[in-house]
Amino acid sequence: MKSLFFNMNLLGVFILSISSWQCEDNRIEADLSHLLLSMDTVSIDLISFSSYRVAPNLGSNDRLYLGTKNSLDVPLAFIGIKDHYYWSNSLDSTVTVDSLHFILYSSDSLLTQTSTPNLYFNPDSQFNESKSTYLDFVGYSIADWESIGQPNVIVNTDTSGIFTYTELVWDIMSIDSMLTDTVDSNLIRNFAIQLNNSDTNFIELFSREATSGDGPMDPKVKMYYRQNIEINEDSTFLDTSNVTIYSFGDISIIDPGSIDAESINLGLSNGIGLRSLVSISFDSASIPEGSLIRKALLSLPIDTSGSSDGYNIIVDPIDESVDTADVVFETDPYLGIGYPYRISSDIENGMFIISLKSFLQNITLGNETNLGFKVIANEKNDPFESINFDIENESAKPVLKIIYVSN
Amino acid sequence: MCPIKKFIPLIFCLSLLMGQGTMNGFGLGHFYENQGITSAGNGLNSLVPGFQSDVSLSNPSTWHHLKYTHLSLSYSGDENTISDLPLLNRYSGLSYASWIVPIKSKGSFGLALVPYADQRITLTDTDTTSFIAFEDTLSLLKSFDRSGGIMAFKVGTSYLFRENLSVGLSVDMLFGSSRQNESIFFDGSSIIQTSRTRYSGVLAEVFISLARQEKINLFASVKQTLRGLDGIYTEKHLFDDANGNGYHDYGNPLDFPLPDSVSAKNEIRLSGIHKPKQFSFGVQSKLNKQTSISFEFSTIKDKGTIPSSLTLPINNWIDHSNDIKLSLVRFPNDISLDLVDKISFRTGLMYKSHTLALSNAIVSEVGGSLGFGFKFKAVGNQVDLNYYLGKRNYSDIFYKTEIIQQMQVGVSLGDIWFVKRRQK
Repeated sequence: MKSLFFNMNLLGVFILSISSWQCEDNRIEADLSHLLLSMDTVSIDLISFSSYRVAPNLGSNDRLYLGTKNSLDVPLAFIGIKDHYYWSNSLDSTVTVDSLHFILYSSDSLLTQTSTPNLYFNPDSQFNESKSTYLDFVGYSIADWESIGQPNVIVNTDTSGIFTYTELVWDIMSIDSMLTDTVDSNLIRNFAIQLNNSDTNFIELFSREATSGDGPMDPKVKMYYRQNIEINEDSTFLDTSNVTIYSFGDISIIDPGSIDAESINLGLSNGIGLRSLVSISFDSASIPEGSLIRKALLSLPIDTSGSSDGYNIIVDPIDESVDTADVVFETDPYLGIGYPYRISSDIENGMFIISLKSFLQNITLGNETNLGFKVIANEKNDPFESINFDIENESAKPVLKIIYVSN
Repeated sequence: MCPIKKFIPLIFCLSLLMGQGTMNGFGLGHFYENQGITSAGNGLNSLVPGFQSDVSLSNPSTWHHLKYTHLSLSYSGDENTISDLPLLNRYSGLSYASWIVPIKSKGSFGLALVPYADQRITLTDTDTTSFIAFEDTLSLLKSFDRSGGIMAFKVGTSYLFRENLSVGLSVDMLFGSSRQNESIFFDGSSIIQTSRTRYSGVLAEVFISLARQEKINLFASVKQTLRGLDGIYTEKHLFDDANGNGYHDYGNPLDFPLPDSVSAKNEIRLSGIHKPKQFSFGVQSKLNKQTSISFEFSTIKDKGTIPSSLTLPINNWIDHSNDIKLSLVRFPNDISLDLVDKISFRTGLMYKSHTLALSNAIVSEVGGSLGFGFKFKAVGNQVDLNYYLGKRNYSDIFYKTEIIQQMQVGVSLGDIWFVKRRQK
C-alpha cells in the first residue's frame, strides 16, 4: 500500500512536469524559392462561333405576352388552372358559390379595359408549357372555345396612394358548369387570352413564373362561397369563405415569322429562338499536366448597338456531339451537360465575361470532353430583345484567359 | 506496474503535440541523435554509461550489468528560439521508451521505441513575389508545412564474452510517415500540393565494451544500413483550399476541384533516401567508485540520395556530422542509506558539426547539460531530470543563431520478471 502511494505520487509529479510544458508553434521564415509551385497564364483566342435557330418556347418566361413587338407576333397565350377538390363545391348541396373569378395581373398602371384581351375557355388539353411552340399552332383557331369576354380592370395602390399592381378580373360564373363537369373524365381547365377588340397592339402580364411558388401575382381562379355546416339536429352554422386555385402552367405562343437560314446572326434571342455554339481550342494539353486552374474567364464582346446591360446569358457545355450542317431546328439538338457546369452571367459594358474554370479543370482531369459550349439567352430575358456577338471587333476579340498553378 | 500502465497512453497522447525547429526542415528532418540529450537517464552520453554505473540505456553491450529488468520512459520538452527574429517554438514528446531484460548477468535482451527523425515544420517564404496575370498584379506567398516523422523500433541484445569484453547488437526498424503541404497563397486563398511519404528501413549497430584496466573502459560502435530507408511517395492533385483548413474536403466554401473529381496519382518508390554509416568511440575513466569522466566521439555520414521528386522544406540536407562529448557523472551509492548518496549527478559539454550536402555549409552546435537522478528502492527505480542548453549556428540561413533548451524527465522502474513467485 505504501509502495502504491509512493508510485502514485511519483506519477503525479511526472504528469505535472510534462503537462506544464506549453507547446508553441510559430512559422519560421526560410527561402522557399526551390519549391516548384508556380503560377502562369495562358490566353486562348482560337474561338469559333456559329448560331442556329429553334422554334421558340416561352413557357418559363415570367411574363405572358400578347400582341406584336419588334416584328414578333404573339397571337395567343394559354393558362391552365389546377384541378382542386373545391371545384366540387358547386355540386355540394350545402355549398353556395357566390362568385368565381379568373384573375391576371399587370404592372401597367395605365391599363384600361379597352386595351385588355378576351378570355376563352376550353375543357381539353391544349398546350405543354415546356414544349409547345408556334409550330404546334399553325392554322390554329379558338373560334370554338367558350368566349368569356374582357375583364374588369382594377388598379391597386398602397396606403400612400402609390401604384402597386393592376388586376384583370373576369367573372367566370357563367361557365361554372363546364369547370365542374363530372361527365368529362379528362377535364383540363384551359384558358386562353387573345387581343381582339382592344385599342392596343401589345400587352404584358405576369405569368406564374413571376413569383415563386403560388405567388400573389400568379394567374388564378378565386372562388367565394357559403357553406351550411350542421352543428346538431337543431342548428346549423353558415360559413362564408373563399379559395384560390392557381395555374399549373402558362405560355405565350410567339411566332418568329419567316426564317432565312442564310441570314442567321451570331447572337441570341428567345423570341426568335436564336442560339449559338462556341468552340474553344482547349484540351488537357493546353496547360501542364497536374495544373490547377485558378481563373478561366471567357470574354465575348457584344454589339452594344442592339443590346443592353443586364441581358443574362447561359453557357452550357455540350454533352454529345451532333453531326449536322442544319441551322434551323424544331427542337434543340444540342444537349447541355447542365449542373454543375451550366452557368450564367449578365452582359456588362458590352462584354459577356464568364468563368469556365470548373469545366476546363475537369477536362484536364479527364472527367469531361470539350465538345464546345451551347450559349443561350436566359429564359427570363425579354424575348423581344436580341443580342449579337461582336467577334470582328479588333479592340476586343473573344478570348479565354486562364491563370493556373503548376508544379 | 499498475501506474505505468496508466501513464503510457498519456505520454503517447502528449507526444502528438505539434512543434518544430529549424533543423526539422533539413532533408528527412531532425535526427533525434542530433537533438541534445538522448534520454533523461543517459544525459549527454550515448556509448558511455550514464544511466547507472556501467549501464548506458543506448548501448546494448552494457545492458547485462543491470540487476533487474527495467522499463524506462523519458519525456522531452524542447524550446527553439531564433533570437534574430525573434521567434519561439516549443514542442514536447516521448523521447525514449525501453524495456531491458538482463539475463543472468551474461547477456541481455531489450526493446526500445525512440523517435528517429522529427519532420514537423512550418515555413513561410521570406519574400512575397509579384506576378502580373493579364491586367492584375498578384502577390504570391509560398509556404511549406510538413508533419510526421520517423520512429525506430530497436531490438537489442548483448553477450558477455569475457569478464572485460562484451558485445551488443541493435537492429533498428525504421518506420513512419509524413505529410507535406506545399502551398502558394494569392488572391484570398491557397493552392496546395499535398503529398505523403511512408518510410521503412532497417539499420544495425554493433557495440563493443572493453574494460582495459580497472578504471578505464572503452566503448565503440559501428552503425550500418541493412536496408536503406525507402519512402513510398504519393502526390495528390493540386487544390484550391477555399475554406482555408489545409485539407482537400467538402467544407464551406467548397475546395476546388471537388475531392471526388480527382483521382490519386501512382505511388513512387524512393529508394535509399537515407543510408547512415556511423562510427562512435567512447572512453570512460573512473575517478572513484562513484564518479567517472568520459569522452565520446562520433562521426556519421549519410550515403542516401534524396531524389528531386521529394520536395524538402529547406533545400538541403545533412551529409555528415561529427560530434564530441565530454561528461562527468556521479552515480549513486547503492548501499548507502544517506539520501544524498542516492542522488546521481550528470553534466557534460558537447560540440556538434553538421555539413550540409548541397552547400557544404556548416551547422555547428555547442551545448551543455546538467542532470540529476534519484534512485530508490532495492530494485533500482530511478527518476531523472536533465536540462540541456545549446547554441546552434547556421552559416547559410538568413538568421544565424538558434538557442535550444531541452528538459527531459525520465522514469525507470526495475522489477524481477520471468520469475515464478511463491504463493504466500
